[in-house]
Amino acid sequence: MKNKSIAGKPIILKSILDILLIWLIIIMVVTFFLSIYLIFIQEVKFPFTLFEYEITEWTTVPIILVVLQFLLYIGFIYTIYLFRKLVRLFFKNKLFTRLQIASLNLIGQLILWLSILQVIFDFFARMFLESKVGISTGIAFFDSFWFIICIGMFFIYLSQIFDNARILKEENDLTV
Amino acid sequence: MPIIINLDIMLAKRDMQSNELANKVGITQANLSILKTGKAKAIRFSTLEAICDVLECQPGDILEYVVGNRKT
Repeated sequence: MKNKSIAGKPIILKSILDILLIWLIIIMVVTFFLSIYLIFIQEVKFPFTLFEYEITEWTTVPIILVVLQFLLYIGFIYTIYLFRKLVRLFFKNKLFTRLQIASLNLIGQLILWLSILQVIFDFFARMFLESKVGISTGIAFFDSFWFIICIGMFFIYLSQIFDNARILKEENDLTV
Repeated sequence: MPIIINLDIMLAKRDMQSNELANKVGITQANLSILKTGKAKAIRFSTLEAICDVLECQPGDILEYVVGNRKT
């Protein structure tokens, strides 16, 4: 039985993800080299805003925080990369494959845990860099912490649904 | 699987090749192969009817239930 395409190809989504990924990598590389320049060029004393935090002097704590934020940022880029790869898999007209199921689950896990880590990081960054104590978990718009957590959990749940669909498809394919 | 498909026996009795049966029944060679090798999970009544019609036999001539022939 030939696999018919049951939905149109997500061309716009794929294009947006392609552009987004390229931009994120460019921004990360530029920010990385800029940070290296600022850390190691001792003459530079002016305050600098990096990842929304104003850094007035490059002591150990700000450097550690910047490194940690970079790691979170790399995690975010990897999530977008996986998402882009998943969308490309849909172009092959094969649905409910094990790779798609694993990708959906991993993307969901990354969204979930990176969001939680970002909140924890923000707490410590605010405490050390701005001498403020507080947790920012807004609910007002699409970039709110709780909405993003829901999106992460949705991806994980979608992975389970795809797994069920894979079993049904397998049975259908083996029905003569 | 406890249900065994005895297509090869019937094909031999009717002196017919697999591809000829597949063409007459209206299924692909691949699907017929799935049936013959016991990998099929289910068979449609319409397919069973077509096979019996072509091979001039009863469903019981093709399907056999074997107790204890279960994959672990």
